[in-house]
Amino acid sequence: MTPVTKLSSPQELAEVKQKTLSALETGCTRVLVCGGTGCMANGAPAVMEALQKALDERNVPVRVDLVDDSKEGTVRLGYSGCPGFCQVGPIVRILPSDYFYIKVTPEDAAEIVEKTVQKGEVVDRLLFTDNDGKTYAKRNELPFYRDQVNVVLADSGIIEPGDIRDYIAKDGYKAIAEALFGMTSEAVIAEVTQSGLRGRGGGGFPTGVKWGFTQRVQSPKKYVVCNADEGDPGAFMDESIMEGNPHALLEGMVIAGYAIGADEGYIYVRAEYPLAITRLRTAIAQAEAANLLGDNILGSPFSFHIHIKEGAGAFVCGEETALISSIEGKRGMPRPKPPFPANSGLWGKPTVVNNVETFANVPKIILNGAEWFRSFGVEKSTGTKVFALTGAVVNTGLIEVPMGTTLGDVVFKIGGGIRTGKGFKAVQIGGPSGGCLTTEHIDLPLDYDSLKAAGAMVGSGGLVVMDEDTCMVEVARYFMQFTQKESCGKCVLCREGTKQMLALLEKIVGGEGTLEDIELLEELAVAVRDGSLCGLGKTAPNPVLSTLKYFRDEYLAHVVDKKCPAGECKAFKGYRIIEEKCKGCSLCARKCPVGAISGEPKQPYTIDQETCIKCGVCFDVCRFGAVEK
Amino acid sequence: MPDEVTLTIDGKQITVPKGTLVIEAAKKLGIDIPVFCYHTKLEPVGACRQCLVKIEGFPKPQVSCSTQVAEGMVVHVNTPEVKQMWESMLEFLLINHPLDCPVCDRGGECPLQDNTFKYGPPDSRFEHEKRHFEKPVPLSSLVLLDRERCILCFRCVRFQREIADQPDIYVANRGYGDYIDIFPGKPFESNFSGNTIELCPVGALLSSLFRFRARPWEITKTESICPNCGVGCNITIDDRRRRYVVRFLARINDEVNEHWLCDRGRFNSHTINDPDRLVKPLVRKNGELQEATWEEALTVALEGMRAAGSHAGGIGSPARTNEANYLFQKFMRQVIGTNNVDYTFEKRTDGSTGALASAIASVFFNGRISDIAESDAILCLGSDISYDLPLLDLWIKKAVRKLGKNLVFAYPLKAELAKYARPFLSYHYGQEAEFTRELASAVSGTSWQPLAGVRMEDIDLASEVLKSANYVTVMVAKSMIESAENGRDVLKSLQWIADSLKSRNVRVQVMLLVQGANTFGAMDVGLLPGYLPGYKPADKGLTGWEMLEKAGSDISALWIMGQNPARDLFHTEAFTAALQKLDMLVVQDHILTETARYAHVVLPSSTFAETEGTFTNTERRIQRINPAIRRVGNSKADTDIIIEAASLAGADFNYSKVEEILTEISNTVPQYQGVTFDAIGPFGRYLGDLK
Repeated sequence: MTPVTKLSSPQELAEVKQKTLSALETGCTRVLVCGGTGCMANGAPAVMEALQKALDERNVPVRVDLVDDSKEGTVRLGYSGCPGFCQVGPIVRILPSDYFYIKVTPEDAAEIVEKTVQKGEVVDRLLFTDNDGKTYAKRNELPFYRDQVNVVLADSGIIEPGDIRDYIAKDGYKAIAEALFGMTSEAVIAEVTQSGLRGRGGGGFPTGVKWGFTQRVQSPKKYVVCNADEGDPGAFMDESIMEGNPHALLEGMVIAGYAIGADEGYIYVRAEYPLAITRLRTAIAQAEAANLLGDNILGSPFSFHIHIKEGAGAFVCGEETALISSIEGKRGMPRPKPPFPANSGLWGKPTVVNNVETFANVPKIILNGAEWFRSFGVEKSTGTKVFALTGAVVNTGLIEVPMGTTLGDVVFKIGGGIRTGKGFKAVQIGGPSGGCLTTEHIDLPLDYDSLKAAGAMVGSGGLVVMDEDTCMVEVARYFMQFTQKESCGKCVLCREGTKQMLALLEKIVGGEGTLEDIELLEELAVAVRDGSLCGLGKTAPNPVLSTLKYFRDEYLAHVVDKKCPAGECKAFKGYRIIEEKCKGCSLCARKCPVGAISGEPKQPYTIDQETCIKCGVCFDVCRFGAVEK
Repeated sequence: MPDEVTLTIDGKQITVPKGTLVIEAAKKLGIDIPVFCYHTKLEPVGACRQCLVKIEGFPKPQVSCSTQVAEGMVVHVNTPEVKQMWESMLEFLLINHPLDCPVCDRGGECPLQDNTFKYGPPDSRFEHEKRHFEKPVPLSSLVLLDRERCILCFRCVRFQREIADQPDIYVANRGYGDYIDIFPGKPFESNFSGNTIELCPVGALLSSLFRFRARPWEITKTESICPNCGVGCNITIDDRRRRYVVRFLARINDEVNEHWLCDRGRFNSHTINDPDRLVKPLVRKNGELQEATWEEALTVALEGMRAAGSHAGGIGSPARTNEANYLFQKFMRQVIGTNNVDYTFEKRTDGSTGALASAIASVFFNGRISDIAESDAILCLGSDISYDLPLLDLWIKKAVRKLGKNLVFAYPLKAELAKYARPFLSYHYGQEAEFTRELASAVSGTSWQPLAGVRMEDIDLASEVLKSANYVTVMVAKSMIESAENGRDVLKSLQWIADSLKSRNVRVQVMLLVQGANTFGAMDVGLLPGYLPGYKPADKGLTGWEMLEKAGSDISALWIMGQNPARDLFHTEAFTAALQKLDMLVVQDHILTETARYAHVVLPSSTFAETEGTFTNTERRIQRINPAIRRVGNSKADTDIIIEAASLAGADFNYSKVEEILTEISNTVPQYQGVTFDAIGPFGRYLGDLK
């Protein structure tokens, strides 16, 4: 069933919006269960089922279709996109009261229906509670959300991604109407250029300028490609947008197509995002039925078609030329630039490649104007940026902040500080291609240029916070292992260089490193950074270079003192039982997987260092603190 | 000039066309930049990173193989910084290279070895275990792969994909695990596979025929021409101690074969080294072939031939030099006294030879190989080019795939080139004349009926493609004119097509596709019944086919030079029976062929690898072949055999050098005027435009 059928003019689009709005505004209570991948995996479908059952049992009329039945007192129950606070899922949000329930289980359903839906009361025990015991009822009051500015994620979490009318009600597709019926392609490009929007995939190239290059190339066929091959470990901004607000991406691509003169687009999305793919397919089908995609959009002469191409899991396919090769059915390998895709991209035709978040910003820019967009962020990095905040902070999840927000604000205000109670040590920003920032960068504004100057990068926006227990050499090794595995093997520097760097890092964390190894590692890192063919190789040494820059003493400790200052590297760990504290309970001996602990009950036990594999189980299980590292 | 760019490399200014790569500009200035993956005929990939240079304005070093020049660009090559990068790159490449140069075929001519000595580090700082693979892996019966030596420049994979369009090999796995492989169950059977061996910048791809046979420093190189088909690819004969031919390599000639050879040509050195080469003349005594002196053998041969007189015949060869074929026809005509001379025993239809001769004489065939890629449309008629003249297959693929030109391909069977054609015209075998007439009618706008099995709309499409081009190459198989029913009409239709196109201001070049390395030359020098050198009409004579047909009746003696009718694909039995009816059969060849087994006299001759002379190829380019190895046993060059026989007969065949024969040809055949060894030079001389 398609909610909206063939619209043949902007007026008809506006009518759908009005009709939807009035339906939404007729005193209807909305119960939104988070439909993001995290909450879905965490039990959201069971919560949904329980809510449905609870409503049915109490004979609360549940509205099946948005517009059909808009009587007072009805409830609209549905999945929303991801609201970002994944740590506390499954999340249930009630509108219009905006109560924000966390960690909801099916057993909570009856209470939610009885108290909140029927009586408008809040269920206190489902609210977010901070470290000081303070509870927050409404979403925007939560410390996690309070300091965020939502542009791209504004509608995700409110609209139902499966119903195009929800998006239309939020002025969705209005930007297409304005562009197609009121702007030349040059004007669209000028507006985007004016806005200062830069590529959100990491490179930060000005989007309007890129579009301008492609528009000026004469060719009867051009393509718009959306890079949705989000591969950085821990990053899920694009996934969240595709799942929560797929139409925003589609609309952005249509506008890009109109701007550069393309009639066909591809979304290259990783196959590991099945939910995003399903929602995109639904969205494309609904948009096509509504004539917002396809031939003669909204009755204009402009046509644009979108195809989905599922990736096969290679990180390097996030590099635009490798991505293009992959769409063409070839091995996903980057090729030298120039020629840039703007001149010779997909199937040799001029092509614009942008990532999901970039496209999702475009409709807002067209609707609200470049000046509005520039009001967020800083001079050379305008707008907002979505980050995936993870690691040792209290609050983890997706956050959206204006460009230029300081690192400290993100970690301490939004993230709520370090979860473990230990000191803040560093963040790894930009995933395996990025670098680390330390305590000295607490006041560093997070924008393209400041980060680049600090030896890191925005990248796709992963932010991993690390506390004092994290070994920075091990961090470098971890990311190097990732890029080494993901190297496509085309250019020698990346293929051989990452392998050698990994070998050296393994040697260092394994306690076998020498000072010469650090020198060679640094030399290799510079060579790979300077000489590699594509972005993967050029940025792969960043974690090594930035940890060497800010935590060189940790490297030295590993090779000179043969110690891991953070106590993380196994090679340097040794476990010893403190005789005075040991009660001889034998628990450690029973848990030891290799039988390295022996002794008589009620007498102090000992660990055989030769047999010990330094797994740390004894340390974890001892109730008397008798095992020391 | 807006299309030119001036840049500075190491302080030297140079102006080059826009789009030139930095490495090419540097090469023009004589500045050496080491490369592995870059190859002038392949698309740049920037994989090996060896050619990094410093360009002002770029924060990072740039690969000169895929960076295009820009106005005012300042490039630094010979600086300590760049040299340091090259050294690092070589250190990278050697991390996994086994350094087994002492047992590697490539050692001594290996770019990796050479560049390491020139620019590389003295030692490696990487100590861990190198990658190991099983080796060598046979990719086919001819090509072996040593994966440990491979530096993954992808030249082989790129050649097969970009040039040959036969992507039989590919890169398997990913990243550090990359290796070259063939698809499961499908050997590397491309007919251009040997080029990958030559392209390989290390000893990873090896020829199973050359492997462990010789070291590069004991090889002598001789410039020559491949004798296996009409293209006349330029080759180098590599021999060891002037005795054994160890391999053929491609010699670059951008007007003929560019950098490539087909496998049929490249790997066809075994007959030269055949241990059963004939080393002495043989004469049949008491029913057995027995060794004899040259004088004895030639005396017996002459007696038998002269006894037959006008009933004698001589069949030369399209794979023998102009000089040998010229002398052969002169000897037959003047010394033996017969008009029955021919270079082939193919069956030809009545009058077709004459029609073809006059077309050649009037320079109707003026096509140049290098212009195939220049023309907008290619009309290819009656030849499975990929098999008949393999290198032209590459030229056509380049024109169609790389340059977007149109191919109209007409052949009864769906040959390899059919898939590149727009349209492919599959006419009925035997209806060549009807088909070409239909096409000519369509091109000239005359009404016609489809009779030859090709759909009307396809012919119309072909005609549109040809008419809308600015420059058309017409390629026609000689067999379509000479062997087809009413072949003369095929020629007429072709002339009609050419005239119609020319009247529409379409430039047309026509190429006669011949299969022998010297078919064109054999015809030019008068080894044709009824035609003297230069297509001067002579008294009628029998064709090779007729001579065999009339063996035992009209023909009682035959002298066959370098041909083996007893092993003909279609007529073995008839020919064998014919040969047995002769009173005298003289066979001049380098091994005891099936035909030679029936001979009364067998004269051991040289192969092309021991011969000096010239070949004229399908585009009528005359090219030189040079002796690489010493004569085997008492064998002699074809020319020497004929000169000796003539002298024995008392004729005045007074040539002290092979070039004197060429001088006589150039004085006799108008198109060869002024042709000398020097004038031909290393890359041949195109004769098609000489009236």
